[in-house]
This record gives sequence, C-alpha cells and structure tokens, in this order.
Amino acid sequence: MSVALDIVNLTKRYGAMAAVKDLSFQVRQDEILGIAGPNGAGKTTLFDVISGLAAPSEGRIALFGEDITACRADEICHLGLARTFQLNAVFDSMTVEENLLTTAYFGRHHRSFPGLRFDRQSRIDCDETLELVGLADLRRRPALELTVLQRKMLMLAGALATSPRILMLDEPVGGLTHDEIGHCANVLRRVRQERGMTIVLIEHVMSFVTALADRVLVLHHGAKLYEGSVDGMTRSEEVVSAYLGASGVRALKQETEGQDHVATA
Amino acid sequence: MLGNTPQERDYRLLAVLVLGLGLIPIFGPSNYLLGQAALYLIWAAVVTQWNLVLGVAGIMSIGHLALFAAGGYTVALLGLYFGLSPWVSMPIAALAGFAVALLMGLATLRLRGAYTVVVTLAIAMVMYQLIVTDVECFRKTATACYSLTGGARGLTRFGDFGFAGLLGNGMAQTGNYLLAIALLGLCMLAAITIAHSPYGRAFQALRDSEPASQARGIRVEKFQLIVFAASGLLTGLAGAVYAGTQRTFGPQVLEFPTLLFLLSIMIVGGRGHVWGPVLGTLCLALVKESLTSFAQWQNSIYAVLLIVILIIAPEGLAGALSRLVARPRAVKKEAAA
Repeated sequence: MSVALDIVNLTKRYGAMAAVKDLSFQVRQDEILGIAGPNGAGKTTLFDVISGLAAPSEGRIALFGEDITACRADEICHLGLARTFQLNAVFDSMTVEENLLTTAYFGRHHRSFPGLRFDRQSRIDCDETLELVGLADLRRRPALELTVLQRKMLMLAGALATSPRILMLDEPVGGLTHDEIGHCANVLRRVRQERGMTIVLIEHVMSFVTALADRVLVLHHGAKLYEGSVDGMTRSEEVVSAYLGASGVRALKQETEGQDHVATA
Repeated sequence: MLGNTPQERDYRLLAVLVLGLGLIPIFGPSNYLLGQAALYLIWAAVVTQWNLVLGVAGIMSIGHLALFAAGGYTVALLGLYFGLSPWVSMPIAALAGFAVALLMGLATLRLRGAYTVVVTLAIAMVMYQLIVTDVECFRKTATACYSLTGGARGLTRFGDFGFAGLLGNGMAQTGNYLLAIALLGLCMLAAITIAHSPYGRAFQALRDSEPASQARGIRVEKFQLIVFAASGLLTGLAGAVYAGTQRTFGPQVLEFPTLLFLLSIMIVGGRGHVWGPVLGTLCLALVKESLTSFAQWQNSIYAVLLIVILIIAPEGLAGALSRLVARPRAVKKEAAA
C-alpha cells in the first residue's frame, strides 16, 4: 500500500519547549488514522507544521512522495492536503455558498490571475460538497447564523471543496452532542466511500475514534507513545498511564483483576 | 425585484442611480449647481477606487491622490505642450495612474499596516514637493514666465472637453455633469464587479481568518497588486475628467484638505462597503455646501464629523444602513420559522 504522508524525525520547538519531538510515522493511502493524546501533547502543533502554517524546526515531511517541508500553506493546499481547525474557522462574513465557492476556486490549484467570476467547476464542486455534508438547504444563509454543528459541517465542506487527496481533521466533533457526533461519523463514512480519501483525525471523543479509525497514534509530550490498532491502545499501559497516571493504571489493574475474580467466582 | 444575488441587486441599484442622476438636467438646475454636482461626482468616483484599495483589498494606502494627480497632470501637460484634447489624452492619463499605482504597489507589497501608510503618503508628498518647488522658467509669455509643471500655481488654459461646441452654448456644465456621471458609473461598475469577484472574496476570507484563508490556498499579495493597479487606471481617468471639466489642475489636490475631505467621504460612507463612497459624498457635499460661510472651520468640521462617525457608527452610513435592512429581514425569517 502506498504512503500518503511520510513524517520523518519531525521536531517543532517554541523557544526551549519542544511541542513535537523527533516524531516519525506514516499515513497509508485510503486509511483513517486517529491521533489521540492528552491536552498539550502537540497534536495541533503537528497539524500546523504538516499543513504549512508553522515551519518545522527539524525533520522532513513528504506528501505522496513529494517533499513539502519548506512549502507554504497555500502550496500544500494545492498539492491536495486540506485541514480543518479546532476552533471554527469559516469565513464568517460570507454566506455558506460564498464560503464554498471561494475555497473551491482558490483551493484546487494556484491562481495567477483570478477571473472576475467564479468558474463553472467551482460551482459544481460547491454544489456537490453542499449535498455531501447536508447543507444544500442553507446555501444562502450567512455563516455567522449557523449552529455549532452546521458550522463544523461548513468547515469540513470548505476543506472538501478544495478536492483534497488527504483530509486532516482537528477535533471534528469536539463540543457536539451524542446524536451530532453520529451525524458527523456518517458524513465522514460517506466522504470516504464516495471519494476514497485518506483521513487523519485528532479527537478526544474515543468512541468516535474507535468507530472510524483503522489505526491510532497516541502522542504524549510531543513524542510517539503508541502506534497501532485501536484494540491495542486501550490495553497499552503507557497510554493508560499518560491519561490516568500511575494510580489510574493500578486502579485499572485492580478493576480488571476484580472482574476476573467475579468471573471465576 | 431587486435581483437574485447581492451582485445583481448592486448592478440594478447602480443603473437606477445613473439614470436618476442623468435625468436631473431636464429640470433645469443652475449651471452653478451642475458644476458643483460634477465636482462631487468626480470625488465620489475617486473614493470608489480608493475604497477598493483601502477598504476591500486591505492595502493601507493614503497616497491615492498621487494617482489622481498623475492622471490630471497628464491631461494638463499634454494639452498645454502638445495641444492634445482631453478626449485624446484621457487613455494616456489612465495609463499614467496605472503606472504610478503599479510602482506604489510594488514599493509597498511587502509592507503592512502603518508602514504602507507612511510609504504611500511619502510618495504623494514627494510628488507635491517636486511640483511646488518647480520654479525654473520653462515657458515665457509676453507678461510672465511659467515653470514646466506650473509649480504651486498649477496649470490652466490647456483646453477642455469642448461641450460648449458639441452641445451648444450654455450647455458646457451639462456636458461636464453627464461625463462625471459616466465616470462614476464606470468606477462603481468596477467596484461592484471586483467586490463580488474571486478577488473580493479572497480579501474577505483573509480578513475573516488569516490561517483558514492560507490553508484554503489563498495568497493575496499578488491579487492586491492587481486590484491596486486596476484602481490606478480608473483613478487616473478620474484625474483626466477633473482636469478637462475644471479646466485647471494644480498641486492642491495633493494637499492635506483634499486628503481629509476624501478620507471623510470614505469613513462616513463606510470603508469597505461598495455603496459607501456614494453615501459619503452625498453627506459630505451637504455638509460642505451648507457651511460655505464658515469656510475657515471646514477642516475642523470634517475632523469632528470623522470622530463622531468613528464613535457612533464605525462602519459608516453604508454599514449602518445594511444592518437596518438586514435586521427586520432576520426577524421576519424567525417569525416565519
């Protein structure tokens, strides 16, 4: 299976603090990789560095075999990587439709001399994406008037309208209710089904990660703590200790032993 | 009735405005009124272009009148030394505005905010100083000696659009007035088109969220230069229309009172709003004409007006108006839902 994203010895320092430390991992084409880790583990910094919004201190990033370590954010977008943001970053002064027309027009490829009108392809991409995320009825609505879920969907649609090959989602369901999380998961499944996309997602809501991800990467203090299957993650002592501390590990052990005890009794 | 999209609505409003203004001469206003109206229409046209640069594209250029002066002086100098009619030199004036805008844009492309203000203002001031300190004798007449650029006195007797000959005696001001309407119509057409085009959306996206706009492939520096240069073309044209209708052009257009007057129009009308310049000009023209007897207080009055608007309606008249229109609509929508 070919490699979509190749991260080699990546480090990002802010002053003396290393937010990402000598991190290496690969994202395979067409897989969904979940990235988890406690607050401050460096997940968002990792996204900022990969998407070109922050320059790496050391290391190398390759996107579908092409070195993008020194590329700007707009160039990386044109190479087919689209990310979303933890805080809702949509274009608030525009309507839903204008948001998507703009991202479809400028996100697909570089524009040296933009035209005075949006081209047909942008309109097609805009309409398709609206259908895909279920915002077609709200196209004339100002982005500012949308609900939290609708704004999350608009941000996802904005990323999809750039026709990416790899999608990076930063906490796509943070702050949503149980039903809304289900809706999000369905939309992402449909995206994957219809467009065959590689997806990397940061998420704290574990049920969402376990339901969608093929593999999981857990970060702690900017370094890799665990990489592998979803099942293995919950059994990993390092992961449990990072989240719950040493006493948490003991408690978990006691609990599982207790359960064993009950089971045998 | 007003069109499906905001862009169509703006085009229709513009058509109504141009037609409405164009019908006014039928009611036989005085030549003084038409002359003053033509002047204000030209200022409105200049502010539409300045607003496009400062309000829409977000380039903090304060030296926009240098582009206007480039156009005006082109017409005046070509008329004076080569006997060219303003009709002929108008396209050259537009190119002069374009060229100065391109230079100014290239000089400030890598600068931000206050630095752009300083550099653009400096360019306009250098232009002003070069003109007013030009006292060397270049052209001798029987009674006096004139410098190449006319110096602080400015230039006169370089010809006009010749409406008196084209439309008949006494119709010169009507012709000037109609030409000024055409200029404003053209400038507004450009402003509306650019504001709703991918260019306008790219600038809007950057203002809404810089990281999100970059992550969606938007990089505005080059688009800013393109819009700056395009606005230079039309501002140069406005300078040509000013020179050809007022029959005089001098360094006063680069002086502080002109800058303050046009800045007041933009801020009062609403920076970044397509209809701001027209509303602002209407407001400032009424203020100016009703205060002619307090001429010495004019600048102070503009300054006070600016401060008041910045405090009570920082988005200007157009911003306040669009909010007034949007609110009842939103309420109605909620009532229906």
